[in-house]
Amino acid sequence: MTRHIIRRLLQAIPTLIGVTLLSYMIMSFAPGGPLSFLGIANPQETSADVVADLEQKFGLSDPWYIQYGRWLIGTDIIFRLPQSETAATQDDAATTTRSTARTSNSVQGCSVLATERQGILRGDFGCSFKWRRPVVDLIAERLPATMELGIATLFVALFLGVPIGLFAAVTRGSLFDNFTRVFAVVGNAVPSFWMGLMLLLLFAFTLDILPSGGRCERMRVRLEDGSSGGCADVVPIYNRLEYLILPVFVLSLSGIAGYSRYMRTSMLDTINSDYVRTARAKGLTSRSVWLNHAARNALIPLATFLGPALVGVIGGAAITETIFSWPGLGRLIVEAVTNRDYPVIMASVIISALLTVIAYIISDVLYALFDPRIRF
Amino acid sequence: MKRFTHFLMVGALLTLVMALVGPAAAQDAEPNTGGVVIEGNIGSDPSSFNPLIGNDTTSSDIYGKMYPDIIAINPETLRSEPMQLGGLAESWEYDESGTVLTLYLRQDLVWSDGTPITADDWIWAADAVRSGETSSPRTSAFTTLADGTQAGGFVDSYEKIDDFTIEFVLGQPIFDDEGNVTEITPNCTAIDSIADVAVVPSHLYDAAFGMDYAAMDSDPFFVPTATFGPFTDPFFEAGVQVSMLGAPEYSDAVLGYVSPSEYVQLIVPDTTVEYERFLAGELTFIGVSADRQNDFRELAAEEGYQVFESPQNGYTYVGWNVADPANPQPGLDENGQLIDQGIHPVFGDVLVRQAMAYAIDTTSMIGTRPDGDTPASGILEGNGYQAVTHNSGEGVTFVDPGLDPYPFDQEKALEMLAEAGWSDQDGDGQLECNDCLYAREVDPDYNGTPMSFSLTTNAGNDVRERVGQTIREQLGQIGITVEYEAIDFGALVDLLLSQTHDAIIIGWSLGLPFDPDGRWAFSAESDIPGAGFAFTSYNNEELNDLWQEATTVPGCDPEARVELYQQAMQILYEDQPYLWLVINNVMAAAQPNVENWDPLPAANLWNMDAWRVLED
Repeated sequence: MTRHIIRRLLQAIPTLIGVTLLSYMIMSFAPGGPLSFLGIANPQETSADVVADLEQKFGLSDPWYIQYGRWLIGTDIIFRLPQSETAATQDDAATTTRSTARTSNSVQGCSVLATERQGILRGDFGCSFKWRRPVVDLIAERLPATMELGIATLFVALFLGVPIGLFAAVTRGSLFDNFTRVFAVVGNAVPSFWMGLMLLLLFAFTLDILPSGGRCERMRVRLEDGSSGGCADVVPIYNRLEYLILPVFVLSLSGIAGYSRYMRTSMLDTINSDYVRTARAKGLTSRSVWLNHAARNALIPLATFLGPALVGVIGGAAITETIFSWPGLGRLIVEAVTNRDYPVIMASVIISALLTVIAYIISDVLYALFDPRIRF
Repeated sequence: MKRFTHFLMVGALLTLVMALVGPAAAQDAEPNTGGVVIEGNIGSDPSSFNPLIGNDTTSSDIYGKMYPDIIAINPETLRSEPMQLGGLAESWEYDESGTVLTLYLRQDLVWSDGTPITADDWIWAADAVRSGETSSPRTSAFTTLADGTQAGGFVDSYEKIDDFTIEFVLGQPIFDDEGNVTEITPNCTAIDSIADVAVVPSHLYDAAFGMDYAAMDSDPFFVPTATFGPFTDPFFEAGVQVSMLGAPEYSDAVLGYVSPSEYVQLIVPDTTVEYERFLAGELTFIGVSADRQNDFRELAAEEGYQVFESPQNGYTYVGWNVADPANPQPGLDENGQLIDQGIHPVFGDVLVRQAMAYAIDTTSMIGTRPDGDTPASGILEGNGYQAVTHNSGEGVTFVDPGLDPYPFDQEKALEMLAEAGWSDQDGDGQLECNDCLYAREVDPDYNGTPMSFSLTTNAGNDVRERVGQTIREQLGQIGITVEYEAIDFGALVDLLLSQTHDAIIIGWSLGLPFDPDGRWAFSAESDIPGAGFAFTSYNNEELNDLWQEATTVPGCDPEARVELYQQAMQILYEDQPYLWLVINNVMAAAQPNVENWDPLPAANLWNMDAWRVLED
């Protein structure tokens, strides 16, 4: 198994390089660019000279393959520039001086100038053109909210969807079975933005029993180090579960519907198999047959879904995050695409590609766990 | 005795009331007791708190509340004026040449750490921007950068005379062949370029960055420990909010002190949710979109919401490409001479463009508001105004061109099109070129070609999308085929700048102070494929002369300038490089419990530091 995982990880390296190369090329050829909106938003004050100057400073006037090279290995290597030995010392001194002149709430930004790029292979994911912040910081600060929402959604979807599917299978043709079928159709058919808005209107704005959005109550508190913090910095998740209810319901609806139908089918296949009939013939109770023999085997195909589902947890859900003002990764990535923020788009491509590889490895592992006959 | 007892009782009661109310009233007048002002932000997180390098609206909404302007805008006249709150300028004067401006600064202003605000504070900022070492887009304020590169602006040089006096040389630059400025001629709008560069506390910026201006790019969220604005100390929670605290020591507030304790930009990415959260009382104020204005007007009357309406500072239009889209060329060559750009097969003829103005019913697009049982009509449901030419809405512009919109008259349009050589000769209901301008001047084989063109706008803008559909239908009625498409905004900008389009529906948001000079949109010098915003390639020598004359009027006499701009607007009206469509109705609303809410056209938030959000 270990050897299999290592082999799959090694195979992922050329895959990742291919994916990033292709993505960068497509992105560069797509209409619009990071500075497209600068001039059009303020045409009277933004001359063509200024836009051209900024394109050069951002490195956007270079051919796409040079830009890709810069993103991959850094400006100094691409253009064979000497690295200043004293630069780091000077930077440290400047940072110390600057800290005495700045407020404690100042956020860490970064330079969008192309000359500053070190390349992703040296750990520099780049600086967002749109937000002027390190891409790693942008992702890291959105990740907790995304994980909260994603894990809660997956948990609810699995722990409701699987038992519903199993029960629907063993009560095939019953009222419950028919109800779950209708529920599955509705759950998959209703658009999440519509469902989200309707639920908000009912529970937040009309009945006023659930919050209208966000991950936590809006607040500004003084932290121990003297800086300011928001609600999520000081209120633990178990004290703000009400903020999760509506978005998790909306997101898990299709999951519950999907898992329940899949489990129902899988369980029916299993119930009709020879070994189940044998178990019944041996006089085992129905409950024992279903839970101890059929259900475990019916779960095996579900492993195929679990890997990608875990990727979905990290990937975020842009529409639901937008409706519920949830500060997650999905919204960040959509905004990055809209604004042609290449460094953020590329980081999301890398993460998605990496997670997809990991997801399929997880699926393999789960297969082996659920079915001892499977060996790699 | 009874009267005396009565008098005593009234006196005691008054004393009691005074004792109870007096301290409360006194407390109300103290800084930062006016509650929290919360604004919804459907956009995005800010990208910088540094006014020298920031370039997006969210960021400028934040840093604009922490730094003064060297010359501020009077919110009532919307023009740059001396002695304005939040502005350093006390007065200014030009020399006889009209290109040397001496600016006198107020001497009563200090940063929050007590350091006086002086000429050095603007000059440090100007030096940083002009260095060209940063990613600041404000380099366009200057004629040239420090290394001599042309920057396209009007400020040629500046010099500190004393702590409170700066002398500028500014105006229209004339360059020699090597790109050096040889002469500066007067330009009445040049003074506004000075205010493009913010004023920063130079003692703190210098301590932080010294002469290493590029270091500002590495620290775009730098906030100095001293500021001068109604709010300060921004706290930024990604994807959630930006919170600023009321600045207790800010001396230029409308009331003399800053009333709110906190100003918050709460990120609410969905407009429907933002509207509902306002109705639920979670947001202090909101801009109501056109599609909700009629409902909200009714609701406001019932619920007591405060409402203010004014025309938008900008307009929506169709831009016709008048040059050959198959071979986009710049308006001028390297020597400043006009280049032959060819003509567009359809819109190269002014008669056709005028006919379009008659053929398209803009009034029906604006529509009417509901009236009793009569429902609203039109795309804007009555919440808009007819745009006639390159000008802002009433209350924002100081130029009244006095022009009536082209009436909707498709018969007249067909007559004009026939005169221009477009008619339905074969009876198939489709207009064809029959000795049209393009066939006469460019390609005789073009005769017989059906009249059709592509019309593009950006997807996601409901009003523009519906305007596009309406134009397609209305022109279809008179035999013109419109291939209409709504595409991604970035792709639309690319198409527009490439000048390979036929017609584009888009809008301009015009800045403040309002500047009627339209050279950036209607002149050969701004007609640069891939970069310039004169993307229609329309050029008119007489108009250029008027633009030039209006900005070089001796003494910048306002009345003389208005007259020239009226003539310029008349030419644009006749030549129709754009089909001017609508000026939106802007509706701002505030909760009933907000005191001192006093919006003005294009300056809705001018007195936010005086607002008091009363507790329910």
